[in-house]
Amino acid sequence: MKSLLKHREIITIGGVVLLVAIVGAFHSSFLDPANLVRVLNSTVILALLGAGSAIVIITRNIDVSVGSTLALSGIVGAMLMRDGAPIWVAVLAVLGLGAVLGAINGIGVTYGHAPSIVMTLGTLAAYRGISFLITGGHSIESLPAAYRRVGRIEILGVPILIWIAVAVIAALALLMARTKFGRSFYATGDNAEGAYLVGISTNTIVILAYTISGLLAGAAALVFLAQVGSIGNQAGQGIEMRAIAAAVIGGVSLTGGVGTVVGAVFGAIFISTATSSLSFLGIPGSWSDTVIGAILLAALFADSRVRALVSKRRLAARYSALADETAEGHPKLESEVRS
Amino acid sequence: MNALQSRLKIFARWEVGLIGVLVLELVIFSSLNSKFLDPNRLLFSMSDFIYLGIIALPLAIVMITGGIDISFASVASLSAIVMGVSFKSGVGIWGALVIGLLAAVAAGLVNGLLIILTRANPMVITLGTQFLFAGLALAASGLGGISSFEGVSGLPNEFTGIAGGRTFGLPNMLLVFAVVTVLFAMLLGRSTFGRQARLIGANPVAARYAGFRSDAVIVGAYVLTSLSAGIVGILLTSYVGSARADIGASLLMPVLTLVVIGGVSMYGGEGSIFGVVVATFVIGFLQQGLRFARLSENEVAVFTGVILVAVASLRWWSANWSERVRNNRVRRENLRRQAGAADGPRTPVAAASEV
Repeated sequence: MKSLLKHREIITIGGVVLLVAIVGAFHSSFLDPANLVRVLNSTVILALLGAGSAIVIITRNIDVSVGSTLALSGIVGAMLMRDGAPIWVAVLAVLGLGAVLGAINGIGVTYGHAPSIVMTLGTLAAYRGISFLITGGHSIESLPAAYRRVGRIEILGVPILIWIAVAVIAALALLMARTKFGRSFYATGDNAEGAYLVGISTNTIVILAYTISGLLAGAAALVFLAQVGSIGNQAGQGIEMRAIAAAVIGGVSLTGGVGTVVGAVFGAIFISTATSSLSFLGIPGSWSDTVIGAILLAALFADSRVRALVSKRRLAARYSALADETAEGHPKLESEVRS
Repeated sequence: MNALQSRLKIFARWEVGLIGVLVLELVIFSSLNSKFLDPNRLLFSMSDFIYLGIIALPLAIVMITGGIDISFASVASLSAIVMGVSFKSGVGIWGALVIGLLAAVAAGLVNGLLIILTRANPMVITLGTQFLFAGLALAASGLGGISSFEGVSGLPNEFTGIAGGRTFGLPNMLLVFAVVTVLFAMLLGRSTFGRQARLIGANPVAARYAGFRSDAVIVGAYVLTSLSAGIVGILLTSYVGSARADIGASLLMPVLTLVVIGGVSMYGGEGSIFGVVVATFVIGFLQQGLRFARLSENEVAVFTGVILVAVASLRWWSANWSERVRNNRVRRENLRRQAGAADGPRTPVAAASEV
């Protein structure tokens, strides 16, 4: 039970496996490797954004601007490529711009003291508006064929974009779970004052969290460009809420300090598996939002029940331990019970 | 008590500041273009933004209780499409309207009950219900065989005339806003519900120990927000002449902007209806004035986003600054008192109280 609570993402992973098994039982063609790769391919963008959202949420903030960051950095990259810049320059520009846009959010939240949802709602509108302004409302079509070909390279039957995304996410997961630097994100989200007192520069950590989120939004924009081959101003509109939902379904707690990047990625896989399995189950695609909402609420409800149960048990155990000791004659402990 | 008074003073200042900004805006925009102040134009252009305020007011109450609701945009769509589908399936328009509003109330109950049952963060709950209600709206329009592009059109004239029409020479939208304002101002300022809402936001634990029916107040606040969102969904349907499943989709950001600029704290316990009302006009006229000054829609969006962030930041800094001023004053008074008392070493208590 304890390890289950410590590794909440296990439930999400189990959910994904269960979902795939159930849909596969009805329609074995869903289990076709080609179809599973298709599902994964459609998850890459959401998984990257979900991982970024998870890191921001772990520091007890929220980022609703990732969709606009994706659009703005992607549009700038596409314009650079269209105007003949080398591909590697454009790629670096997209990632760099994403990171800068994220850092702006972080600086506003820390030094500007704007509540994180207000700050990122502001940039949600502002970044989207800027991308409209620089394109004049037109989408950017003619990307170099060399770049679009990247999206079709496959290794072992799996698109290279998926391999790269897996590598990036694995690196991030290791960073968050195994390094002191990564743990300081958790410390900041769990107890910002305490983290500050033990020597963590919490402002820097929050800014870095937003920067990583923006960087991943830039990476998602690169995936978008490779997969779609063009980018319009509507790109990524509304995806920020799905990214947050992915993180929450993956076991990341909005109150900060709890959850993992891997969990968020599996949350994203869960969402895209659920929505793509709808057509297999004969449910119209217009129900996909309903399904996401219902899954999210069910996950929250289950989570709250489990947590209430655990804290009740823990309290009961503590009280009974205290009762035993006081019975043995430790009057000092009585005052502790009272306090 | 003193702390409360000085706190109230800050709010008074915040709202006075907002009024100052409003006057400044009117002066600047009318000097740029004298047509801006034309009373008829001013009155009727209000219908372009005043509906945002209708949701912002109850949302302010939700945020004063320490919660947040980001599902209202979906609720507006849901109630519009439920009305549309009912009308299409043969219910009279007024019956359909009531059914639409009932759907909104049900949505609010779902929000409130889920929040008090799970004790989860209201933002995640309403994030979930945001998907749920938007999905249900789409599904309802799918089941009703309605093209998502056109929505339900052919609504009777007496209904489509509501939002654009006028009563006693005033636009109907403005009248609805005025009624809602008076209702919520009374509710927040003069009723037990309002006082409890504020105290729950300020300190939920103390409120529970004081015997407040916190859960009822919280559910009530969410139901009021959803009901208002439903009203706005229906008003917008009447305004554009067709019921669509995505009619509320663009409400989220502007409404939250109003509430925050109106001085409602994201952390509960602080805020007033008056502030939100003034903010409605500040933002509404700002966007209109910018459009009058030939800024494009997207430049206006960028500008509004920047203003939102700047104001939120300014709020913290102004509170911080005024607190520092107050602390300095107290410190000086303490020093003076000690100088008067002269003898006797400074007690640790006195030293501590100065910090």
